[in-house]
Amino acid sequence: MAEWLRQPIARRSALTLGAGALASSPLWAQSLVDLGFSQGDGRRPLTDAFPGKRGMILQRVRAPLLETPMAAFDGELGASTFTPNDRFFVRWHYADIPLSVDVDSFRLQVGGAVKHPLSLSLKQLQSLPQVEIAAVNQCSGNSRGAFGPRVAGAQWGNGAIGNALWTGVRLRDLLERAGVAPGAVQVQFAGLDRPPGDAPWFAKSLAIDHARADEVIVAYGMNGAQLPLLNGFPLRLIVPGWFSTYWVKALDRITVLAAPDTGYWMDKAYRIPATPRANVVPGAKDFPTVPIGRMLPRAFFTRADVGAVRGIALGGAAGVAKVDWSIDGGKSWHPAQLGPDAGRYGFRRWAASVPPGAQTVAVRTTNTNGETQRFDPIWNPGGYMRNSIETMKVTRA
Amino acid sequence: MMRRLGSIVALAAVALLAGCERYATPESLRGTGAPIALTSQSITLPDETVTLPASAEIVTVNCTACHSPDLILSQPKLKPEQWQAEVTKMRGAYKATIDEKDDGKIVAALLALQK
Repeated sequence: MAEWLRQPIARRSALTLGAGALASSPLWAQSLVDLGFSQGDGRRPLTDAFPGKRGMILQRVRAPLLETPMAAFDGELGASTFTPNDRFFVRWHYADIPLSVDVDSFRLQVGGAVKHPLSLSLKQLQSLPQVEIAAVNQCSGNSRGAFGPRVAGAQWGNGAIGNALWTGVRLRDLLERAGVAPGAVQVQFAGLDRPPGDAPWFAKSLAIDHARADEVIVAYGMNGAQLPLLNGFPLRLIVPGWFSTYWVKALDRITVLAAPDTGYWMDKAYRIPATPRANVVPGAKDFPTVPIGRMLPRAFFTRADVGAVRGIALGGAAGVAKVDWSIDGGKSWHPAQLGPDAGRYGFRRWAASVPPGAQTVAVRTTNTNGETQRFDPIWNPGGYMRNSIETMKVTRA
Repeated sequence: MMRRLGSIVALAAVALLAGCERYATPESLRGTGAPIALTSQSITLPDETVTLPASAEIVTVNCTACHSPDLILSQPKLKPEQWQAEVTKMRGAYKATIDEKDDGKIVAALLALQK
């Protein structure tokens, strides 16, 4: 069984790690985990110190980067697939994040190329038709630490991901109320976080047709409660099937654009090679790029021991059609059992009846569009969009 | 793919579900459909306790105004040109006030932190 599944690996009182690891462990960290990276550099503190969060893997204090331990996703096939709000991963770009939001004075602005700009209170927003959708939120750089050759950036394991039931209003309903002007091409989203100095404000944009799609919502609810501040209270854009960079937190500004967004966060950042699986030869430069968008299918282990081999799967921008496992390096595949379907954009639980003996188990998801996973790893300089097949060593009785 | 809750459900759930519309297909959802109560929130973030050694003062001065140093310490072993690309990105894209004259010293200090 891989070291990273055996989290936590050590209580603080029993630490026997080197000085290097200790130097990066805040005093308030309770224990350490090991994400199992190639250079033995996967050790991270596990922390309860962030408000509304517990048992999170600390990647960075300021601006907060908190990863969910894989064990937090584990459960029987029939268990809920929703990630508890207090275990849901956290990722902010800039240190100046909203630490206090007053629900009475907060306003959501809808402007730009519209006939009737809106300034909505939360009460007004909540008077619109309420919808719900289960959807996986995954960081573009989830699993970056597994890239080879390694790339700079947040060294996430597999836990920059979570699934929640999001409650809110359709973006389309807001746009209809504002009256989109003819010639609109994109809709831009920005929140309450602020850049340092002259750094570019964080903003992301979707094509106008995508913004009007059924499933794109402005959420005020996460698993039946208001969002934690660290996950974007009071409002967050939910873009099912798409990477988290578009899921703008503490959303307070929606701007309809008559020309494509040429801001830094669309034009320079979060771009991937315009190749299948965003894959290029390691070290490649000067290839055509496109903004990252749809997610791909993945399957993760949440437990692999004598008692069970099981985990979670996502279809990406489509539902999970099947999850298969192999113990012969992919020569033959066997269907895993699947848990209940709680929505095409959500997690699906899987379990594998692996025969006795020492095995290396591989697991792969195929989605309802026929997209599947491959063994060969991808590489790109941003460390984005990894979806290679995961494997785990296990001895079954 | 979506359907409004019928009057039967609305009646059964009385006021709680009034105005609530649900996705109701295989991609349908669990949850109560109850309104979400929103209340003001305030939090305080934990203090940073990780500091860089005195030998890396030039990194502390130039890098940690915008982010805590733990992410620097958790990078994989990067080549000098990779660290230089990070410094260049912070100055070019994020407008960090890093004097180009200091680049060599900063990169050397970052490399030394990884030894």
